Amino acid sequence: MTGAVVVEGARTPLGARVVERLAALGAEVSPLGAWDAQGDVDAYVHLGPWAEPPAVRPFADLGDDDLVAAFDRPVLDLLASLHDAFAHLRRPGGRVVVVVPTIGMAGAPGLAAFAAAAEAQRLLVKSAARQWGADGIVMNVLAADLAGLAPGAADLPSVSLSPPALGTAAVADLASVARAVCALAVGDTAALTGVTLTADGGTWMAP
Amino acid sequence: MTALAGRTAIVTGAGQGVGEGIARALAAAGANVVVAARRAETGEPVAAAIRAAGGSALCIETDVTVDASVRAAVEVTVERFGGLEVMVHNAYKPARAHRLDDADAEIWRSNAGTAVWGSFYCARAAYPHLRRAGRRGRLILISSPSGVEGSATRPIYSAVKGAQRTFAKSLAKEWGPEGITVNCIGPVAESPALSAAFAGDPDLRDAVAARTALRRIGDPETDIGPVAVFLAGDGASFVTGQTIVCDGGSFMGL
Repeated sequence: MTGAVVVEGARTPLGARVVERLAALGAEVSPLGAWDAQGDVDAYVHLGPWAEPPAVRPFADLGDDDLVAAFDRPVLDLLASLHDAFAHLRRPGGRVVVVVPTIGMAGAPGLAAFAAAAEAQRLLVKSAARQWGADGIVMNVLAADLAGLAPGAADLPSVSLSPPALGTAAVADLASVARAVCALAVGDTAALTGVTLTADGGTWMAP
Repeated sequence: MTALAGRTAIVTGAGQGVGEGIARALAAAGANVVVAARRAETGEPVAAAIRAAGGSALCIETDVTVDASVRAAVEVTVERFGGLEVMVHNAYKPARAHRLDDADAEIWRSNAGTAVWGSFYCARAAYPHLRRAGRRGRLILISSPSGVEGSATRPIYSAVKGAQRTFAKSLAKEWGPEGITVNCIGPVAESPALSAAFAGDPDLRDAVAARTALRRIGDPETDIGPVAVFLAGDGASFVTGQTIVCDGGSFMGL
């Protein structure tokens, strides 16, 4: 499946690779712009705010403005984008892919509100998958290591006690992450919905 | 039972439902309990009932969506009882069913305000005292099975309950070196919100119960309360960053 794909975050390091890969697969790719000018969309890819390295700070030191920026804003931005995308997604067959850092599932010291936002996004996708499945829309999550999503982010404790199964270099391999994103967006994966795929070199392995 | 004798707990949303059940159970285990309720009309009768049963309880009007209100409740608690070992954030403003494509910022604020921002405020205000309590320090957030599996009827509710679980994991890692544990409980139990839903749909009670392995809906005091007592006590001093789903065996995680 290829077709029209809208990509939010196309200018990020991961976004550039996603756009490049989608184009190579024959998709008609548009960076997120004015939805009014958009016709039917086969897939919407939301890369979120994760490319910006977050400040690692003790939770108790955060003020309300910090919490709004770290927690409310990413979730509200996704909610607004999903509203817009819903009006344009092809029925049946429309797809949504949302990218989150794995710390949303594992938690992270010093990033409590930021990680909570990632998990809120993941649950929004799961719930939307349950609702919008009736319209033939499938929705999935791609989880990647923050070290890959946000080059330059502070070193964080690994989300796993075990080393990455595919080696340290695979953790932040954005080309591989982009391929996984594209597999969900336009690949032969229409049977998947409400799923979280993790592309982090085999670091976080869900229970 | 005096497993929690000498310890002090605040329970938000303790004027009814799950919060009331947890407050009663903690008090029965010997804790001094602050019944933090948005309205004294609901909280004071719970505190009075605990005192009448021989327990130690105080009602403090608390709005968990207001930082200053939570801080004031913590200050009064510490003044009255000399410390704070256990903070239980349960308060939640029930969400109406909605579609995600209709959900607006107001639905978000209503859900996130009590569940997530209430968690933020409770954690921030309690932290200095939990740190002082060291290995007795406990933060317990009341989440939901919907925060794990998603919800076809209340997607925003699901998102904020999931956010609480990850918030607990992060704080468990951040505060662990100080001995504080942070956990969630995901209950399905009798509550005013559930009763209202049942009143509007007489078949819903049986449908919900039928989804559970135990074929019943939990009791706040005797089914959920003991789990909170466990997490608050010494037996759970090595349990942190977890969500204990107490739903009679409806959602069974991996």
